[in-house]
Amino acid sequence: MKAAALAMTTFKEAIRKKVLLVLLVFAFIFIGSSLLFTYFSGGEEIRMVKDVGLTGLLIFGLLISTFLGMSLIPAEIEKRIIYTILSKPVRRLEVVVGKYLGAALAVLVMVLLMGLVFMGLIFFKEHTLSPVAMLAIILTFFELLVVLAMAVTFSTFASSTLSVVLTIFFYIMGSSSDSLQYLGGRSDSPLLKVAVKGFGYLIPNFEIFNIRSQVLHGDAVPGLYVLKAIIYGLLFSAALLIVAGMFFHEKEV
Amino acid sequence: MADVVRTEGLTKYYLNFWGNKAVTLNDLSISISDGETFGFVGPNGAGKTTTIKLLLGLYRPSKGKAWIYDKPVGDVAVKNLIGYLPEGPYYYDFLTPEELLSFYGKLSGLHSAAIKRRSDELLEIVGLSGARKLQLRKFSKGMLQRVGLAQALISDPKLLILDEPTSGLDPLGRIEIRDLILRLKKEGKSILYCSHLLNEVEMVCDRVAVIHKGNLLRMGTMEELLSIEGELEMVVRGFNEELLSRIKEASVSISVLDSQEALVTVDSRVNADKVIDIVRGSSAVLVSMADRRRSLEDLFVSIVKGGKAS
Amino acid sequence: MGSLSKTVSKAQKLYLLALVVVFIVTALVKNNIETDRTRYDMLPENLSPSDQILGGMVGAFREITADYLWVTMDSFFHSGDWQRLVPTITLVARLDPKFIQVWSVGAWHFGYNISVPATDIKVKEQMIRQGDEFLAKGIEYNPDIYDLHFELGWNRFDRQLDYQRALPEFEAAYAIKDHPHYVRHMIAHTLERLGRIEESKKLWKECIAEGDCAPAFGNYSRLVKGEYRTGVPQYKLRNRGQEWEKCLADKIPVSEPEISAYYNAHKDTYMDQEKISARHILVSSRDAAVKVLDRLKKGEDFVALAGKLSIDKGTHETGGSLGLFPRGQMVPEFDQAAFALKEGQVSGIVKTKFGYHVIKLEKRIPARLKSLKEVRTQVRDALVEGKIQANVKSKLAAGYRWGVPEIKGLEKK
Repeated sequence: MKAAALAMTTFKEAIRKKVLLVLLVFAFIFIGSSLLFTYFSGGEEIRMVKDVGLTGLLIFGLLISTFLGMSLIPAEIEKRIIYTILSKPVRRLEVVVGKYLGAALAVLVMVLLMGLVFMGLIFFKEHTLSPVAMLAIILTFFELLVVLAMAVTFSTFASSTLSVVLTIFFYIMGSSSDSLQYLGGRSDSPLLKVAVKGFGYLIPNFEIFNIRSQVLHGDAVPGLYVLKAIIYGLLFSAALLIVAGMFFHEKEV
Repeated sequence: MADVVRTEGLTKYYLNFWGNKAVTLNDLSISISDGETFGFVGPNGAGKTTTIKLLLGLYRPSKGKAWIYDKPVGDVAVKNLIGYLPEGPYYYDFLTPEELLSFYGKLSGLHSAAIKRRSDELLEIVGLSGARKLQLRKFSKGMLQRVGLAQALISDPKLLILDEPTSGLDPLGRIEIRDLILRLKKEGKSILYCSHLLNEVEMVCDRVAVIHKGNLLRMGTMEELLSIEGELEMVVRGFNEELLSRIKEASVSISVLDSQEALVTVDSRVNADKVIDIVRGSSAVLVSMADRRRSLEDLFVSIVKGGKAS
Repeated sequence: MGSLSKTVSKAQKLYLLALVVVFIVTALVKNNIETDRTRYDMLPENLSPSDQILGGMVGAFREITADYLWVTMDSFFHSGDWQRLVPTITLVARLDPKFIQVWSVGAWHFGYNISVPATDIKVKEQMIRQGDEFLAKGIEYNPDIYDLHFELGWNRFDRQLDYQRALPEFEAAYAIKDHPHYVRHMIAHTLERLGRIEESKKLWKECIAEGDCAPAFGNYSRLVKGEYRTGVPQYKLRNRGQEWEKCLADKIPVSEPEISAYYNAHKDTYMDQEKISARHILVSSRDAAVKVLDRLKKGEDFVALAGKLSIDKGTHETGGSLGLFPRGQMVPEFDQAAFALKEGQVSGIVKTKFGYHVIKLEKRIPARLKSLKEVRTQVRDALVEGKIQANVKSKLAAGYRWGVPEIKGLEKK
């Protein structure tokens, strides 16, 4: 209930941000520009539309999530709203979770809007709706939830610039997780092997949410896999929020 | 009756990079009893806000302890008993007063029906009934401060912590807020009133603590602090030169107020008796007699200049 | 802060406990997912280390990077920039190995677009081999798709003329579901080339029975009549021979006496024909033409008259000038009359299908033999071409096959 009140207010505040609107417009332009790409694509039109669209959705989703996540709690402290909130009988973890849920709702709305434009484009080109593409959008959303949780967590102990840098850094690390695991597996040193393996658990593997290749090549993705990936995303976000709660609990505001 | 607020040796310091201590609050021990309006005065940066943040659990004490209603500070359960109005606050400016109160009401764990009833009541009290559907961005500072008070009162707390409630307001706004606070006081709320505006504290508070550079310099009731021990002031009407010269021996000072009245200051009861006798034996009349008071400002200046004088 | 670091608070203990629990569950889920990803072939586990690093570096943007390169690859192809095309193809394939189009288009670039115009036999053969290997690699990543098997079969059938190695690829393509009907046709063609006539016949029969092709289908009726073509067809060998031999063009020796002998023997091809430059006035009736002649006799200027009277829109602004032209370019009546004139002479009335002409011959350039100096390179090219043809012919006769693999056992059947 308390978290829900915080979430709704955060959501209302988030969707009023002009930066988000601007990003959304850019995202539409980017996704729409895939139609232009098709002129040079040498017969691979629909691939271009799908790939540019899904990647655009991801890039702008990342920007939106990072931006929202990093400012979620620091802005509250800066504007001193946090004093009145914490003077009420609210647990600090509730504040973190409530604010996170509100931002997640805003990200969901953004993803839905971008996804709608994207699916419309696909329908315009192919005259069918690609179910795998829809799954890809759903998984992208859960990927963004993890990114959002990451940004929130970093913002509880780092400055906003540092949180952005850290979020981007860990996103790249998480995206190359597969390669890292592969290279680690080939290493001769058992110590390095264990370290790399452990690293793989500590950093979210964002490639799990990436089924763009399957969309492009028309491969099917099992529903159970999608479900597991969603659970993985939610669990990782939860773990990150616990860390955020831990830091925020100790923080003097 | 238990104390509303009690602190024992409450201390807050920071260690800077070189390991040097920067003390913002040093060994504060105070207690506020039920129904009392406690003034907390000192210049900006004296440690008032630090104390409040320690009491709300926003900061953790470096040393010492504090209780509110006998519960250690920071306890979530006790927070419904506290209403807090921070200094120069900002509220979500896209919300209306109603929505804002509903938000804080939910945070206080109230039911929506209770929130509705309470917010109607509060908006009436703070005089914002007419602006309930207006977004806060369109509010003046005074209106915002009144919304802030309503927000602090949403869970009908027994203790109000007000941090510079009148700062940044125009004179009329100050009077409005002050009247509101006096009304709450009459209703029996305990109030911790922090301000650097001494005349307001003087008007509102029962007891005052003076704090400077993190140290508690003086604490007591208004009477104790402001009356100057032994000195009395008497107003005499219908005096003449002869009378004044007789009184002069017994008094500290005489100042002529107008052609009819003169103010006589004496330093002891014995001298007061002498003056009364002299006046009785003449055609003049004793109009009034009272302990001599000074303003809080005078006291403050003298304390701060004199250091930790008790 | 001091009091915090000394002891771990109760809240912190709870947080840590929750974190550990959630973390363990997350790790378990992750393990499960990784198993799934291996099972569903979502992990590019057979990539080389360098490809892994490359993929890791571009991370989530691997596919779109591949797309971008694919678009640039197209522009390199159109500008003929092979030096940049080759690495780009391989890079796209490495970034997105499931991008079928890049394997087939890439192999096509290697096997044909780069290999055919190459002037070095080594490069030619190297590119053909690279196309073959490229497709084989593509099949490694995409074993369940017919396209690349078919593409490799076609490459071997058409470009390498290696029917023995083409057959298993076509058969592999046929074994995969959803292949188009022409895959079976190609198997039949290949069987025919390999001399397995009965099998080929049987396959065509099946095709006809299943409605893949009409009963009167040429290949089948030819097979039935026993007019089958086994081995590499002559025309393909000849084309291939010429393609390969052309790479040796500048190494074919041509002596001076040969050149002059050829020049002398083919003087007619090196003639500059007789040309004339003439003007004309075209009118629509004989009467009008007579009037034109009258006015010319009275001494009026031909150029001015053409401007005034000619109905030939193309020339009346240039005073009827037709410029230089050889015999045979104009309609025969006009040609005859014009070439019969002397310089400066005006013709009588000449009727053609366009109307009535009055022609004036301005200048005549007589026929001329071009000197050997002028046409030396042409002569040499013709000689080399002839020698290549002869070379191909004699080598063909001797059974030379320009790198075409032998089909073993064919002769016995």
